Amino acid sequence: MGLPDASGDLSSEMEVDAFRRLFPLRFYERHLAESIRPDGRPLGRARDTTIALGAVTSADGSALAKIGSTTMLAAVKMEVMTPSMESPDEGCIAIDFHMPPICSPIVRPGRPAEAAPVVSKQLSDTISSSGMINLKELSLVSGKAAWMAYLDIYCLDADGALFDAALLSAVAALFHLQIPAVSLNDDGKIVVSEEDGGKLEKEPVNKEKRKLTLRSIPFSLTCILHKNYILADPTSEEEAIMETLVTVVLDSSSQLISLYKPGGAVLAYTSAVQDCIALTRQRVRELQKILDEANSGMEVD
Amino acid sequence: MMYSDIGRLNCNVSYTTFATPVRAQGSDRKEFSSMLHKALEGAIILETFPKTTVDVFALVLESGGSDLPVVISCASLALADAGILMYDLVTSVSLSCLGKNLVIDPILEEESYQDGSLMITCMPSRYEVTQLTITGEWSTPKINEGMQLCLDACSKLANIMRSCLKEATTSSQE
Amino acid sequence: MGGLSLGEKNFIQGGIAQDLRSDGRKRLTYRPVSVETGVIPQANGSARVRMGATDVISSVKAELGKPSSLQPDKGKVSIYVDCSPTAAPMFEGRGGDELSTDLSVALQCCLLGGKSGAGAGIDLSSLIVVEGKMCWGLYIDCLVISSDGNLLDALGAAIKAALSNTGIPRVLVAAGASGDEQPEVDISDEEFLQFDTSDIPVIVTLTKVGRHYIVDATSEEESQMSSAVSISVNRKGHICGLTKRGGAGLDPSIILDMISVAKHVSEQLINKLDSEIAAAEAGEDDS
Repeated sequence: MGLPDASGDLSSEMEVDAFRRLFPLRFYERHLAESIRPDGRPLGRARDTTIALGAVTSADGSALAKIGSTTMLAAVKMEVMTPSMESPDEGCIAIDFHMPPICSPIVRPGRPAEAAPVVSKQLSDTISSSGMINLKELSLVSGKAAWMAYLDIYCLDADGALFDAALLSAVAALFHLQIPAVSLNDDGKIVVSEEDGGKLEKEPVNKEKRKLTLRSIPFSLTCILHKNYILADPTSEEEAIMETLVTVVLDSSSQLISLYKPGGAVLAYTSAVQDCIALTRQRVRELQKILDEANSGMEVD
Repeated sequence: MMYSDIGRLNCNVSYTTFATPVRAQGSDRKEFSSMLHKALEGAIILETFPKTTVDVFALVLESGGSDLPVVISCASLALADAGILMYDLVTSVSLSCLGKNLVIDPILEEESYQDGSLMITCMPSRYEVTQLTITGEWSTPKINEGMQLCLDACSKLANIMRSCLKEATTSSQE
Repeated sequence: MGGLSLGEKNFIQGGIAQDLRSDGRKRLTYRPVSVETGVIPQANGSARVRMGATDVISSVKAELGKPSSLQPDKGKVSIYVDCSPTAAPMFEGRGGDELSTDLSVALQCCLLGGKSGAGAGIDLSSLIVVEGKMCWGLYIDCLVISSDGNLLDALGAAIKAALSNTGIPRVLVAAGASGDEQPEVDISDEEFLQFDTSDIPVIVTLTKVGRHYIVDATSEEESQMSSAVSISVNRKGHICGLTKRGGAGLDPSIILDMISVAKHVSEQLINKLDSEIAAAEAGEDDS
């Protein structure tokens, strides 16, 4: 193949698959030296991404996001609750990330995945700190009733870049969310209105279904640092071999929302971080376009 | 793990939190898991893989009524897709009795008003029933009629499942 | 049950084919059933049923609670089975959990009828105190003490006996409660309402060994079964529930045949059980 064989290198005598299993790091480094990855992508390119809105009809908002083979299903369900004393005119969002056993062979019913609570906390921190949702919009009757939005994200297939796909599906589900129409009945309780506008004795608190106004939508990109290569959007195989990950979250106006580098063998110098941010900026533009297309596809229906 | 001559089957059915109209804690449904196990164990040829366990995990994304039959049919399609040797595809249909009427494949609302239900799981080519559950009061002629309806529906469902598997293999070969 | 040798297996199967089982019974004969009621004085109702070496205890406790919003005119019944480790060594720890769940689900399916409540062996509307606000909840707990096959039949009989022994205290509702408040109730200690158990079905389990069915299998015979069908039949001869257990597939015509055999056998079983329960109650009243 025109590449110099190191002494003791068995690569020319072995099949590709066997080499990939036995010497994974060398297999990857041979590819990285040519600036390409085993699935044919250049180092800075993410996998094909698709979003489908409205995947779960019984939920108030839902989305299915796929990045390569990583698949995430997010759904939002709204319930009425009494707001807390410190913030009587704000609603609340509860975000939960689940990894059921179908997503990966390492997850078994009695043994939950280690990644699940980590990604869950990251997601809730990112969404609350990005200021994407104005909690005051979720209020109904100040001090008495407000919406509690339960956002649940299920990983259906885990193939690397879990946080990216989860954030994308969460954002898409919130985009698709339609708050149900409710009205206040005689007992002072909130009930869901009938479709034809409700009777006069009930005072409509929320006239018709409305969508949330989302400012500064966060998008993210996870990169792997290995020696001086930066690989964008790793698969689970790449994540297992080269363990240093950096996740950058930017919003649609390219403001930095979060930067996350949990340890790892490779140190991230300033130049590496700046390269990651540049890759993320490009990715944000791609994701914004994909989300807009999915949304306009829905509205046509 | 003890060595065993035949393979083992392990089934687990769980619901997402948003599967039901009212948000519920997503958890394993033990009784569905054991019914899935009973439905599949008669069809899989466990002797072909000793010292191995087959895990079947089902996650219900949205529950619209008649959940368990759909879970069973889906699981048997997944087993066929995985290449596990089976005697036959397992298909399952449920039937609701509302007053005097027999309604096949009920939705959630119909199920909540039902007077009785009949769920059949069968292997259509062998014309054998692997699992049968009846609740509510039935007279024998009604059971007869119900079973005939369900078996008929099962064989139609099996044809659809088979054509789906064939399409999948032809498209992957291209 | 320890492994059976090939000779023993042939013996059991051959005997069944010739209508003579290992303990001398015919295929469709039950083991002698003995029923004791009132074994747990603190519970509202209790019974202990012995079928051969299989021994189960069932107890019923009634508590006041709120009916479910989906069915405000019906009471609640919950059935729970526990397989005690004394019954078999494999029940120790979590081993008996799967069997317990299976038995609980099968009993619920046989005794509680459809979701709308029709066809239930236990009349749930009689458990209502104040519609929409208060109802009796029956908690039926069963304990398997000794297991020698045919657990489901014994449990069904025990629940029937326990329910006939159950006394629900009479409740006087104070007038004038309105809106959401919980009505004031006066639970009397003296007067009790007896449960009407004539409609409660019995469960008959037919085990298929080879080409024949047997009733009331011992655990040796159960280890040889290819499949079993448990049918719950009430006094009118209607089927109240059916579950098929066991791995092998069954031809639908065989299932229909089993249903008719079960109906035939159930008549005798219902009569026998009723007389045993009446004798037990009479014996309890005397003592």
